[in-house]
Amino acid sequence: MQTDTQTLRDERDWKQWFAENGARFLLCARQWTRTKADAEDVLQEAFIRFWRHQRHLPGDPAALLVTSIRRSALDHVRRETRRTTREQASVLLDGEPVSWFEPADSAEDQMLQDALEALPDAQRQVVALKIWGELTFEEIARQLETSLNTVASRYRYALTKLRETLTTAYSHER
Amino acid sequence: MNVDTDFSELRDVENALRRFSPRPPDARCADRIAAALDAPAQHAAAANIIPFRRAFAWGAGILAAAACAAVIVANRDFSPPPAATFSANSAAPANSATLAAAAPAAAAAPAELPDENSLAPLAPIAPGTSAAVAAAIAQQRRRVPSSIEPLGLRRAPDGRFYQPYRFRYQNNANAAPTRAPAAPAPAAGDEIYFVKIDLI
Repeated sequence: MQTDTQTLRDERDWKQWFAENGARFLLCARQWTRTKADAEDVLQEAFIRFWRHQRHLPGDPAALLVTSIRRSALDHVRRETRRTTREQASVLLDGEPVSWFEPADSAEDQMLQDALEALPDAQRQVVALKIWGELTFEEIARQLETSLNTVASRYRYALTKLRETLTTAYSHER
Repeated sequence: MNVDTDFSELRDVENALRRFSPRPPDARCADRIAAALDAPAQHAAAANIIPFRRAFAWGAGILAAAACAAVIVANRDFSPPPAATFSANSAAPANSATLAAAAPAAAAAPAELPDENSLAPLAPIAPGTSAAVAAAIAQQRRRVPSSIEPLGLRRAPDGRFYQPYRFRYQNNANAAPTRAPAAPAPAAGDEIYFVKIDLI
């Protein structure tokens, strides 16, 4: 779902663009946050910054927004780690696991989420940014500040591992 | 760049993953964004507040630096330095007279050395010269002060304040071999230096 910067010129377009792309950006935000509420806070902050200051910049707007999301998420994590233990505990209690996909709470959905969560963070981020963020490998490499080869390798390892996990899960299901 | 990005053998996994749609954000998330984006006046004020604060901080810093510079310049004495030293020795006038004759700067000092309590021939060392520098000057004359005693603040006829220091000297034994045999021995006695004090 590539979007041209030309289509984002109108101030009022943000609602439509957010409605069309909000879900995948929220999933991207969840790669760097612990809870859905945190991810929504991060998405909100990043989207406002993007829409005000970055939507006219050259390049793929989605990639720019994902960059903004990642920065906001890292800031959010830093702020969170400064809090007291008590506050952290309350955040964890508030942040009950919420399904990443819809239809929510279906068996397949939960199976996939479990398989994704079982992946190492670095591999899961590449899969999420590639499949649902619809970024290219070059863009992902820039986002994660790593090499193109590393990103492609992580993606291959992740898909292989997901295939094994999901195949086993489906066979048990049947 | 040699990157293997052919994942055709894993295409089935990719397709399986793409069948899942991420959950959209809560409606309240869009409402909060709308509230933030639909308030241009507030946004403008919020966007301007930080540059304003920065400008205020920079301006205050520059003003403070300028004020400091003005005070320093205003209090600086640009007049030519007076005679280097003023020697007053009531305890051992002969020794002081010998030293005054030996030192070129001291040659400008009056021949009749006044009492140390008199301010009449005030000939302070260069402005800003500290007692440590005065001590170094004295040491250049091959004398070693055995003690330095600050005396009471005095005011000269020109209205300036001077801090007198009494330097007590003893013979410098180490210096003796370097002197010519005919030269007089290093002096012992007292000498008073007047250091100008700038009062703000």
